[in-house]
Amino acid sequence: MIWLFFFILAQQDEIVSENLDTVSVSMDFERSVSKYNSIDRDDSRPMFEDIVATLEAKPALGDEDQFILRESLKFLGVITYPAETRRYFEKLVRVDPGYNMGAQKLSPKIVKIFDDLKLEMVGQLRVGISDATEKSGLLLTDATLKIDGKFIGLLQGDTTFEVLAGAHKLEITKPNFDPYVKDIVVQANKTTTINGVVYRNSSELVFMTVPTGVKIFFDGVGQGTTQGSAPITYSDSLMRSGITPSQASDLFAVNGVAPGKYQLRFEKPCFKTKLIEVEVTQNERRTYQPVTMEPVYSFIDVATAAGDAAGIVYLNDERIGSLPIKAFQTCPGEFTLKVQFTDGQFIKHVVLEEGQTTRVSAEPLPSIVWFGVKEEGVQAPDENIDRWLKDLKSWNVSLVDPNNTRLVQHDPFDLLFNESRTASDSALSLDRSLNADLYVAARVVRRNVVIRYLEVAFWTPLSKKIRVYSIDFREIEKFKELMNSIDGPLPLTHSWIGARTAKVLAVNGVKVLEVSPSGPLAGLAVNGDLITSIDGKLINHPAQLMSLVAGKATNVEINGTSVSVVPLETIAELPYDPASLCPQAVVARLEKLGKYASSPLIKQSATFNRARYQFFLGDFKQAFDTFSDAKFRLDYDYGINQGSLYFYQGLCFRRLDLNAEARNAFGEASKYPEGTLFDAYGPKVAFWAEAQIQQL
Amino acid sequence: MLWIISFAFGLAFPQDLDDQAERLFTNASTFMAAGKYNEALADLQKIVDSYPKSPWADKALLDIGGYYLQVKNDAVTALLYFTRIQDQYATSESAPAAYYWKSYILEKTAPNRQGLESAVADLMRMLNLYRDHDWEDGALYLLSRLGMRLRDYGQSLNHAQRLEFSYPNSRFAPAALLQSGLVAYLTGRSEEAEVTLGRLQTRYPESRESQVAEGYLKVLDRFSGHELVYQLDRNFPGAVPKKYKNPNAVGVAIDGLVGVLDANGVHFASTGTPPIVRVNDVRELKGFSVHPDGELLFVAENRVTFLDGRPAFSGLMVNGELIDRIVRADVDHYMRLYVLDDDLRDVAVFDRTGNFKKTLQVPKALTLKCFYDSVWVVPQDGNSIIEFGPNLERVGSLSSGLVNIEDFAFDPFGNLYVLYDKGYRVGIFDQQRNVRAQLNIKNGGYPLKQAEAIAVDQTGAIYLVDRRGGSVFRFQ
Repeated sequence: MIWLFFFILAQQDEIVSENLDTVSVSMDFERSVSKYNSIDRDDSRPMFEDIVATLEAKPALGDEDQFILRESLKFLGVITYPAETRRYFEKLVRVDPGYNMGAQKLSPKIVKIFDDLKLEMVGQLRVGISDATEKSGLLLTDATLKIDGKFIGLLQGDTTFEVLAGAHKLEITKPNFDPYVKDIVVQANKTTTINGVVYRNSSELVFMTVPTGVKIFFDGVGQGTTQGSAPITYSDSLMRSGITPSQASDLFAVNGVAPGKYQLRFEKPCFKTKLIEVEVTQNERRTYQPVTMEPVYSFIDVATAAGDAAGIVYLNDERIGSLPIKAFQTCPGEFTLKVQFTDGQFIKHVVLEEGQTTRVSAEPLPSIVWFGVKEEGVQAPDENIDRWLKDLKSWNVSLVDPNNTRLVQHDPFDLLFNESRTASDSALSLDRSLNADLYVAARVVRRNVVIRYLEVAFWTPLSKKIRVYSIDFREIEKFKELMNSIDGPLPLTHSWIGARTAKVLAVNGVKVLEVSPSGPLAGLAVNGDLITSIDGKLINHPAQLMSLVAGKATNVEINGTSVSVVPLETIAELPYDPASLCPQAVVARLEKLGKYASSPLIKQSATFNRARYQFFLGDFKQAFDTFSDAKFRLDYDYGINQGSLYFYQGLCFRRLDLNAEARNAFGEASKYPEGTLFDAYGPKVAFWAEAQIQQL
Repeated sequence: MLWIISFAFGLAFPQDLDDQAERLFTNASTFMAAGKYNEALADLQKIVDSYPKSPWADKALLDIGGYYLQVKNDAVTALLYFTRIQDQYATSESAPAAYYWKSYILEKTAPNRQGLESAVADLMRMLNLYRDHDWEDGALYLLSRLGMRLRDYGQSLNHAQRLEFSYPNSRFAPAALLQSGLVAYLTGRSEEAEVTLGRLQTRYPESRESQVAEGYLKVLDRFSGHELVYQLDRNFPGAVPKKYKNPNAVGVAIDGLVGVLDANGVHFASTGTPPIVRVNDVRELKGFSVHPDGELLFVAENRVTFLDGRPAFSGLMVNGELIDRIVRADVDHYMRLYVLDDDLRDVAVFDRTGNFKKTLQVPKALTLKCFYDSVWVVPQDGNSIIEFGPNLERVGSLSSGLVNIEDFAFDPFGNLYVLYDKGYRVGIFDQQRNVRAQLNIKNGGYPLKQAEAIAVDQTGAIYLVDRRGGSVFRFQ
């Protein structure tokens, strides 16, 4: 046990030592200064000494480290006065010969010790360097001065530095110039003057941009972004061009340019990219006229297929107005468009092109309230089920704490897992407070002694029925598959070529059995014809016709003659398969699509299919209301049409034990000879309606 | 207090009993999956005997019944278990399954219409009693099938429609559509039959039934034209002179396997794997029959067997006399056997267990064939075919100028193909018994002049046996 303790301790030490960085030195320094300012000033000495020792051991010091070192040496000199003051100040001067103690609130005696030391140890170095080719002899600025390889400062014309007395190697560098190197001897309390010339070895291209913040690329290679504002010396020339200095950037230099031809590219969001070709023939400093960027715009229209729906529109979380948005001006680029409707959100990633108007039809996504997994003595599966919910793309998912009594007045698990599998009045009140399209909760049960199950309940306020899926822990991925299935595209339409066909044994192609008088093949084919190829591809099965693309002209070879046919997009029934596709979720999604889909056909199909799903769920009244809604009409001469609606009306009547009404509805359905069920390739609704009448 | 008493007397709580039953059930399921049936049955039987009130008892009975039906092929014993669920566990989860399987067995084994009607009644009761279970699609398919077999075509179509409408993803849906295609044709709506089969192909392209539909559509396509046209299939393996030695019979299974009988024995013309055949003495073989499931059967002098030698019928006796000079035999969809015997000189009818029922009173009948629940017999004069209905009653006959009938056959739609005029002609009649074609073999430019026997496959292709030429030809 003891060894374990020491092991942990050793591990901790190791961790502490690894973390000894500038931050910890800085904290030590603050503590030391505090101690220094207290009545226990002397106790701060070992603390400062530790800091000095630590920093002296480091191979390189940053600005903050150097500051702490200088100040620590200063404090040590003060604390050890008079005995060791000189020793610490000597160190301080070596660290920074330019250090000035005069302005500090220290005893004049102590300051004098420091100043005297500087007189003994430090001399002045006055440096001026000019361009050898510059006839005016103007001294260079912004050249870097190093003494013995250590950075001392930047030259600004004729510049003086304080340097330790003694022999040194001086090095002056500046982009586009050969370095200036010289051995020098600096005498204490004396000024040593260096005047030299440097020779240009490459060109320097200097730009200024209007506005600032422009990215510059030199032959495709990023050089940086212009910043700041124009130097005051350029004010007059800028003003003459109608530009204020604050509109323009500071000078931006591209250095090291050898003679040749180059392309410069200037980029800034919301501005047109500018290209400039330059040719450099000799090494020089070339300053260009300000590069003025031309602003560009893009526009976005946001509307919804449900014209009267209210919604607030956000672009990258910035509110830009309420629906409908017309020609909103912004700069080109990628944005997240969000529309907040009263009954849902619409979120879409949009790319706005320069000068173009992007039109978006917003449809709100249905919402899910997820109450999580309830455990009662049995542990939930390890999988991150919350994540599975959050990853849904076609839904807005809210994770609601079932214990949040402000939002949830009734235990949702009691409501969703009741034995009748029917939504109670309490469930409806839950919906009033949360106002979601779908409610989902899960609980862990041990239905068998050894096998755990996850029961997942789904309920939409659009149906009375609650569906509970029971998923064996060993097949828990099935829950993920279930969630993915409600997230995927819903095939609400289908292409249709306008004929029924069949494959006959030992016959090439498919035989035409029936041609719809209102379909794309009307007048082009008759019963008994053979379709042998589609767009040059041999066809040998009727299912191949199902995969044609609606609206796309297609070459169909009929009895050896090629004709162009455009398949129609038609309404399709969504298969009702509760085992693999949760009907409650589908109803919730179809409700939104029926209101907001941009395509009228999708809207019709969504409404029709939502009512179908309600019918299959046993919500006959709700289904009937849609099938018999005078405003909802499917006025097509083919496929799922008004006849199909009458057929479903009849089925609702039958389920409601209203046989006379059912007979009438089926009678109406039989008046639509081209109406179908399932999809336009499905069985004739008239034929099925007659079969239903015979059953009554 | 109760738990103290229970503990003191070694009694278990109901929950404990349920848990014990559940453990036994879990063990049994594991054994069953591993093929250790005896161990599985022991555990299941213990649940039934010792924990009859646990929620596992009905499931145990269902599994035992399933074992007898599917592993042991013992429908009679299986039926006992399913019936027990119906009687004792009528409100259990297993009850709909028990109804389904019971009706499934009845459909397979019913000896007559009453048996099928009893299955229909059971299924209707099941659909009315139980909601929201996994067996409704199967029940609808069975009802549709039963409707067709009972010739209640309206009900058959109605149930197939309900299945297609409510359970489009059901594994039974393609079979129901295939059946609906047949029913549409049988009710005289051949265009509707074609459209239905086309819909089957469109909606279930990967199904086995979709492929079968191609053949069916071939038949319909042929009959939808003004003139039936047949061409010799020169690639058929039997179409080679002297391929066989005096062939005299041909039979076609539902999967297309063609059997040929000649003086040397049995031959098969098929592209697939040849079947395993066990025949003691090929000289005993007289021809072929087809089982209601579509398998080819051998007709021997004193029995009817499967190709692998398993007896389908044997030890047949009429009035205490053993039947051992069979010349023709066939089975109908109730698995009733119809036998023509040289000694008996009449058509004897036996039930599925081989018990003699009656003779059809067609003295010196020449040949016979079954189609669904009817049997067709050629009387002594050879100039007509007499049809007997499901209750073995004489319902009609077909003559239409037929003379010297040698043999005949049906395609899956009930179209009739008659080899007559001593084998020189073939007459083809549609389901309404209208003459659709007459092929003159003798003067038709065919490779044979006279045929000995005829068979028709699922695609309507005709097989003619050329005894003299030693060949079997296929026309399609």
